[in-house]
Amino acid sequence: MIATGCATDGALVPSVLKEYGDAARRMLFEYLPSSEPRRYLYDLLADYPRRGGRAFRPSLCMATTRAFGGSPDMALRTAVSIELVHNAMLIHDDIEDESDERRGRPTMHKEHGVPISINVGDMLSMLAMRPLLDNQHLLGGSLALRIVEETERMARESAEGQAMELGWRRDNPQDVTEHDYLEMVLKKTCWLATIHPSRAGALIGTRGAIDPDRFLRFGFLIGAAFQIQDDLLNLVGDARSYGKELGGDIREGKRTLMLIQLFQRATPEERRRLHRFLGRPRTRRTDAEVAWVRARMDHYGCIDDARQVAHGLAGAATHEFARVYGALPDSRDKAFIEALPRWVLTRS
Amino acid sequence: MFGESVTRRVEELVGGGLKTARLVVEAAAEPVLGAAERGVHTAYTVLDEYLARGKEAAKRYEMPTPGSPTMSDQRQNGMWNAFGPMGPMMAQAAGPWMQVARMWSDSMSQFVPGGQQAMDQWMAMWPAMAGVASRAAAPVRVQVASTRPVAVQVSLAPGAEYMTLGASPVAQGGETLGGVAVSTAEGRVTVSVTVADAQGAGTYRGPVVDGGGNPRGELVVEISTS
Repeated sequence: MIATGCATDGALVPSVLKEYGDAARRMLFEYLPSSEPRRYLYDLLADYPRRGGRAFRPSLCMATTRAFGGSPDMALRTAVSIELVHNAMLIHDDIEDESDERRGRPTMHKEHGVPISINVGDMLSMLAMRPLLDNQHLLGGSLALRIVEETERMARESAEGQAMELGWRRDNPQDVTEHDYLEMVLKKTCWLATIHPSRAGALIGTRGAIDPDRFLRFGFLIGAAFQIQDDLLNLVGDARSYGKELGGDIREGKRTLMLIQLFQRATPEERRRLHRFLGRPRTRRTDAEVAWVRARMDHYGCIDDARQVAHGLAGAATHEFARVYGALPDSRDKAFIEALPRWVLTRS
Repeated sequence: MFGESVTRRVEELVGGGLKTARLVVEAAAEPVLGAAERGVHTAYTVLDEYLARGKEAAKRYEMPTPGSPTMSDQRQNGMWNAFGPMGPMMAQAAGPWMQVARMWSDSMSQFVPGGQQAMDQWMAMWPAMAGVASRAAAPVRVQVASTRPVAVQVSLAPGAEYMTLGASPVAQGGETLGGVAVSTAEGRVTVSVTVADAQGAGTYRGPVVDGGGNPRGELVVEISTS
């Protein structure tokens, strides 16, 4: 049984994240097989989960269930499934992005090679089905199947968003807009990070008696603020706590809001130079060029602009919170969800 | 970092969603679209479009009522199923203009999953099939009879060519395009579109469904004015 305690103000979010995150992580490890082949597969499944992480997604799912009157235990297996999918996608994302670091250590494919890492990611995705199937004993067949359908929707939306971003990186278009970016973020980030955990959590908490589309707006707005803040931390964060290479997004050619703003504000000559830079393979993008892009972002106020957009979206998420959760009785979990828009912007 | 004033300002701006945000922006005597407001406005636009697309898709993929005229067995042939019981009459009325109709091969296109090469090879087996352009591998044959330029796009789910297929109403607003038929035989799909002179110009859309009424793709027919 998961205990529920009390914490206030700034301590609430970390406290709930730790409590629900620990519970989800404990059960996640129970789902990881310990048979052979361990060296090339099963031992590696635990690699990314063991590196830590905030457990934001599973915690949001469990808190939403409880805010809607359910027990967090009812959502535990769904939360585990979400965390397994998340870790699977991280492994594949790191390969697709050619990232060097994840949570302060070399990425899995840097340590074990691309083929083995792809296979580990595949296995984590497959394993995510098991807790969803086990849900039927706790939630009943109908609701458990509903959660499977929700998971399938989330996976589809995430892959579509990832495809948009990868396509931009491959084809190097110069006309990606803020609108395009937010649409990509809606699919790639928000469905897994916030929309799906909220929808699944509420469905479980109400035993399926709620329209999950009610959570699209809140989930999108807080998820988009989360993503922009994440992209900002890649430029201005603390290298130790961030856990990834600072400025890595520029080197990867990732279409962040700051880069899109730079394209729109740069002179034609600067735009051509930026286009040439992004058209080269990652390994041929020099430190000096990355520094130049970063300096231009500062010059044109792209970073401040993106920060303001993140604040605006977080404010709008607060507004949508009142519409979706406002009528619920006060509880620690409701307070946790209400505090998330502010936390998203202040995390480091 | 996260100012209360920003939160309040944005809450005021987006109260009630995008419509309110637009009203506020439009009614403001001075420019109010700072980065925060602009971002929120764009976000609500993205959401509204996303929701509208979902709603539209849900409408298009709605299960047809079993036995409805559009999928009835009263069709005279594959060309007229969309007319249901009116099929024979429509065929008779359309006869004269069909005789003068010509194939608008240069304005037709197909979009089906797969690559170009295999389709080109398959197309080579049909030298007499004038007016069919191909852009994909799935063996789809499009026949168009029209006095005006018509573009046909067919999107099919993988494997759909091996199912029994039919066309649900292909419509634009309230106007339905008759003379649309989809059939399959031995893994080959044939789409026939016959456009009456009186048919309004525009883009008509409708799902391609299997024998159970489940959506298996989409048919888009663009009819030019002249």
